[in-house]
Amino acid sequence: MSATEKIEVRAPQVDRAPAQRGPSKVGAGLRGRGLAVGAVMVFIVAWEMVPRLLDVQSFIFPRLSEVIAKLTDATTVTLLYQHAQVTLYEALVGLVIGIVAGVGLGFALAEWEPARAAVYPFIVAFQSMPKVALAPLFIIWFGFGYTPKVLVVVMLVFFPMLVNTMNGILSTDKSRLDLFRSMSASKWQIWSRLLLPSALPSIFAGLEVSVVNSFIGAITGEFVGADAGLGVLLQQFKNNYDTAGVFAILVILAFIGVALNQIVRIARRRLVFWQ
Amino acid sequence: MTERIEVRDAEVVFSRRGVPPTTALSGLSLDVEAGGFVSVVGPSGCGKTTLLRAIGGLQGLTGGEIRVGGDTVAGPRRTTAFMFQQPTLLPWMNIADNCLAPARIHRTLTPEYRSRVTSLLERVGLADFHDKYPNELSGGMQQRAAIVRALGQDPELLLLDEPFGALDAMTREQMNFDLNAIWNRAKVTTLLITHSIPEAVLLGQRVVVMSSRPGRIVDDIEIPFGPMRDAETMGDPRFSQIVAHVRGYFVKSQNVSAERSLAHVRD
Ligand SMILES: Nc1ncnc2c1ncn2[C@@H]1O[C@H](COP(=O)(O)OP(=O)(O)OP(=O)(O)O)[C@@H](O)[C@H]1O
Ligand SMILES: [Mg+2]
Repeated sequence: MSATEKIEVRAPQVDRAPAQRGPSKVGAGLRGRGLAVGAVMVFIVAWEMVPRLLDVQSFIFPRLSEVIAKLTDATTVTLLYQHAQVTLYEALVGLVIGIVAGVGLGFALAEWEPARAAVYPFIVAFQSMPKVALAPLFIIWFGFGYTPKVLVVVMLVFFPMLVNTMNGILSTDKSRLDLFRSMSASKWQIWSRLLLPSALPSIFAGLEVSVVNSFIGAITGEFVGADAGLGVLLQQFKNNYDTAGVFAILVILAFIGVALNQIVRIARRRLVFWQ
Repeated sequence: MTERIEVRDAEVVFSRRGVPPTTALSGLSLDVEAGGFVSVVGPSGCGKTTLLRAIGGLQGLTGGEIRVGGDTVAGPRRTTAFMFQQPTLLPWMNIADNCLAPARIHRTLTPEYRSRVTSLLERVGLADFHDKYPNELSGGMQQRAAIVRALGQDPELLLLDEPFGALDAMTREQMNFDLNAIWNRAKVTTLLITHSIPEAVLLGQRVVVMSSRPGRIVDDIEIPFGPMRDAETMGDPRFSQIVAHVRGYFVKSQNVSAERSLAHVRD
């Protein structure tokens, strides 16, 4: 059943690939995919068998089937769903705010030298500080609701976006700037047609970091003090020695992480197609 | 209308805090008549690019004056087309869009502009590559696309900074003849910087020889051939005489840095 499904899904890609990449790479791609599928299967089997063989107790390291049981149990699923919504909300809101603010200020600082000189020491100081350490402070200031978590996420997203945007713009090829100046391009044309595209690869590199960071921020914020969210649920499960539940949350976090990462990579491939 | 260039006592000193200032050009004067073609040769680092950038309005002077078409150059001019030492294509645009970029920037994209670019692309053998991206082209093809971009602007002044340096000998010769043909039709004032003395002599109505830094003009040679140049031009005995004469400036030079740059100057 699943084998036929896989073939159906893959078939169009195999058809399309030779025209774009040539036959040898398709072979290598299939082989690579085969290896990946094999590795995943070994991992699944090992997760189920190794704890069984070593006779590890379930609350130390649950078997895969126990984790799957959690992920299919109706009450647990409802619980996971409700708390995941909270975490997802905090992470995504923080992500959007952090991206907009980081990219915006990155552009401004790249454009305006004096501001860059003034702000740079602070950026360096913040960059080298573990920003999650601000979480307790935000809880004191803003209570146990969404705000402090969103703020932690913003802190973790803002700086990589700011630094990458700024550096991307500042490392624009000087001869291309000459080209635009020689064509008497307006400031706006230089920004939109040269600096932004030049900075895109760097902005996307920042985005990949930021997506991961956003969930680190949300979960950490919830650890420090919250009444809802996957971080809270994680601690509840832990306190009940429900290790299978903890693993279920980790699996969900991994899935969300992979999904967001894929979205960023697809967007990157579309927007930065020339790299 | 093509434009004449007048350079009067041009001086460019690069100074930054903490480093001793570099005098790239000093007291340089040069005239190019409207519709003329002047080649400039000189040792590496003597200020050729700086001179070209100053004429194009990309580099301010610290002394003297440059006039193009009678007006003092204060900044880049739309009627000037540049070709840089590197192709400088934009990787996110295909070849056709790269060549049309100046018109889009100037908001003057007309059907005539498009057809001019199309026929230029044909002429340089890139017709089939108009929808390819720069990273799909060889270095020589990129350079040819950059030539199309410059010529497509139908400029009144064409500033070429070693445009053919990255090309193989065969393509380079072909591009030389193409450039000569294009110049003969458009009679656009052209300044060509090159490290190849034969190329300078083949294409220029005059060849200007610059000294090592700070760049000054040490000779200005009228080339006795007509405007049309071809393979026979290079067979003319006067051709090799002039080439040898120009080469003499670089062999005689006692300056160490000029000696070192001989490798560039010899073709
Ligand atoms: N922006 C700059 N700041 C400081 N010095 C510069 C700058 N641009 C050029 N120079 C210096 O000015 C001198 C002339 O440079 P230029 O690029 O004009 O030489 P060139 O004749 O074009 O050399 P090449 O044949 O190698 O291209 C060099 O010594 C260079 O180091
Ligand atoms: Mg140069």
